[in-house]
Amino acid sequence: MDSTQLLKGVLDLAVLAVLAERDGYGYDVVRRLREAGLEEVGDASVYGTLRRLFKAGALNSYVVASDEGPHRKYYGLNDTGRRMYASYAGIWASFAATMASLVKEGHA
Amino acid sequence: MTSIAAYAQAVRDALADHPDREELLEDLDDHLAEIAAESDVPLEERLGPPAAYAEELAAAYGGRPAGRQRRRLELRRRLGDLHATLLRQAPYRALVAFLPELRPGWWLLRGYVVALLVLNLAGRGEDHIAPANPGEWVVVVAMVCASVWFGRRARDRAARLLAVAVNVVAGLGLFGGFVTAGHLAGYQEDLRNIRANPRVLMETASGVDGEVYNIKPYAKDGTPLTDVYLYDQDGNPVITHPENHGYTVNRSCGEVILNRYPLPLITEEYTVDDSGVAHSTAPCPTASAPSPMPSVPPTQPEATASVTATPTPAEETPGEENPVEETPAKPAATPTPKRSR
Repeated sequence: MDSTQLLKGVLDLAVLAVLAERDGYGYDVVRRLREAGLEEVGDASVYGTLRRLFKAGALNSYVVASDEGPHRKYYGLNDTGRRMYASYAGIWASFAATMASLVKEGHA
Repeated sequence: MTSIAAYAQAVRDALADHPDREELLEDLDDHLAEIAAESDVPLEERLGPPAAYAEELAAAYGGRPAGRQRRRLELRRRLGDLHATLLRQAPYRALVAFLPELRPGWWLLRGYVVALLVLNLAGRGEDHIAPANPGEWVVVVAMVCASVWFGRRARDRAARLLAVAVNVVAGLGLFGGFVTAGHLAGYQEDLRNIRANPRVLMETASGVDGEVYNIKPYAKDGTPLTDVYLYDQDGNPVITHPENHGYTVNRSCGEVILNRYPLPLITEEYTVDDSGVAHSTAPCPTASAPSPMPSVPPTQPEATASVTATPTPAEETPGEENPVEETPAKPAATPTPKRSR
């Protein structure tokens, strides 16, 4: 089994979790996901997910001018995003618990 | 910086047909610049080829099925390559530069064609390729104006799709118009031919496949008559066209008179010998020989058979006066022939 396949299903939740911690710009989100252990997360996947969540009305965005580099567009959760995060997190917790108990039984 | 712009442009090109392209790619350049600023390794090496990046982007954003999209991208790329290759040829460049000048002409034609299509679909009359009355002219002018207005409009994606659909319909309509025009021209030529060579047009009364190509006269008492000369009210010979029905008049048995009925018809089964002369394999017809026409059943009494024997056309003098008289009188008891059809 390929972990990138698993990641596809939970990337929304992962991005929402990162932004719930604090606002971030596109590449910052990628970096923080990788630092958290999701090494194989694709840049394009994260960027596409951010744009989709933004279009769905879950994110605020604002541009921060930068002296040395390009302007950075920051994303952060709004109320819709926070509700979405809470809902996804609940689903994930339940799903993860089910899978954990299932896989434990499979080992036994 | 140029490598970032080139990469971003390649991604944009790959997503050219994405419905949310602008929204999806809004800050792609800044995003790529951020990545590029972090390391000296070229973007292509870090992110993979732009087409793959675009595909991953579209998949995460929620685009079209990846397989279909890949095939379309491939086709688009090939067409792009072909276009680029051809652009190096001066004649192709000139053509590409000239084509936009034809656009207003196409808008006019498109409006006309769509108007005529609508009129033909809505009307109950025959198909026509030109407006038939002032009302139709108004429709045509309105449609042409609409077409030009639509052509001059700034194009967003929906309008472009609609334009493609309308252009396809108009193109098909134009083709249909050409076909209709061809039919009309053929019909008018037929009319001219008929006026130039007035002939008697036989209208069927017999119901034999809708058209008469041979005539079988009978006497009052039911006797089949042969060698009957038919003329119309003006004295013109009545001529049928058996060749339109797969038959031909047998000319191997003497001179043929086309208004002498029944015609000695044979099917068009010729063999051509070495000298190139076509000849029929059918025997010379006599009045009693089988003919391609529905035959009259032999209902006559045996005793009259020898009396009714009629001469073959070959024995006759063509153009003889009153050929009907040659048929001998029959016993009154001869039953009326039953038509087989």
